[in-house]
Amino acid sequence: MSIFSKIVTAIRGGASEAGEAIVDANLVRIMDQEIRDSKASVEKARRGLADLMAEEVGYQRKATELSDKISEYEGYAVQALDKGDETLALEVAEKIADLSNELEYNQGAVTQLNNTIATQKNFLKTSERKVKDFEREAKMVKTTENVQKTSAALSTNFTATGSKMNSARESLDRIKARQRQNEDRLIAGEKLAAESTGSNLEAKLAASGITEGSGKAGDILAKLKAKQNK
Amino acid sequence: MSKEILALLEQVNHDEMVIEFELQPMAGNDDIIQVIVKDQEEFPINITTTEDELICMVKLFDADEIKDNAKDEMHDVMLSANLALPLSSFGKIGTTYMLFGALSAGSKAKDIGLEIETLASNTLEAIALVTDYLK
Repeated sequence: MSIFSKIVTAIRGGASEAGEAIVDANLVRIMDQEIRDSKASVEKARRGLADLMAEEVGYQRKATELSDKISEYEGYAVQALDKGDETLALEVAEKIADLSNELEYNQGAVTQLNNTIATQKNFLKTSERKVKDFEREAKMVKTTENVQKTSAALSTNFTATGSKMNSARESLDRIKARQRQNEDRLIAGEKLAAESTGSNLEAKLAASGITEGSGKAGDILAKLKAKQNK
Repeated sequence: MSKEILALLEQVNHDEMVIEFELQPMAGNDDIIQVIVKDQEEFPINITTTEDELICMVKLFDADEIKDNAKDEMHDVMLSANLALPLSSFGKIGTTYMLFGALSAGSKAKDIGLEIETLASNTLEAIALVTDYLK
């Protein structure tokens, strides 16, 4: 059974009380051990793979050298034949045969190593996936237990203010009422601010003589004086 | 453990947020930091961490607050609304219904701020959504 279904079974079975383990503590230990083991085997496989790849490069290099050498000796054989030295040509041909055998061996090794490398790469990928799976499962258990613990704490310590537990509906109603109150206060505040900046502005306008105000009396007096002088 | 969460949460820039909140470690539980949102103190956001996650949970209500025979329909509404709620999902532990969001433990303060803000407003939406089914 997968860890996830174990968790679900435990939860459905009512393992939601505080402190109650979601999965057996032993299982958690086993999982941790499995993670360590799989990690070690991944590490080993990775090192092994590197060795194999180095070996393959070695054989490949040797194979290239050998085929170069074979071409070289084939040239010599042709030259010996051109000179009519059949014996020398045969000797060269024997050398070529030896080189060819060696080349075949090296090429065979390269093919075999390539197969092994492919298998090892597959194994490595599978192992890595397994480690990730184990880690994910271990996290699942830890997260569930952590969340469970939090939830248990929540039911005993619901309100921050320490006030008595209220139903969600009541709480929502109260919050909504408070929000309305805040909005009303905001609107009232805005009105007040508008009024005060308005009167402020009027005072300034009056002071600069743009609107009616203290300058008015002076104007009247000036007009009266002008009339008198006529 | 709560010290690490607290240190992370203290980096959240209050000036960039549309809500006001205070942080307080939960009394008697070392693993949880509570975010108390101004004007909705009834629904504190509880933050806890695991190895690579930051889980933010708000308790919505208890199963015994649900009206008789309303549970199925309420669950249906919750599941249908789940996708529309930004960043938050409905969850249930034991008999406690909650709204939660999970972040990578490596999240930036800005993302955590957004999560808190969103969860706070989603909480009111979520309860309003199911209020017909509650006693």
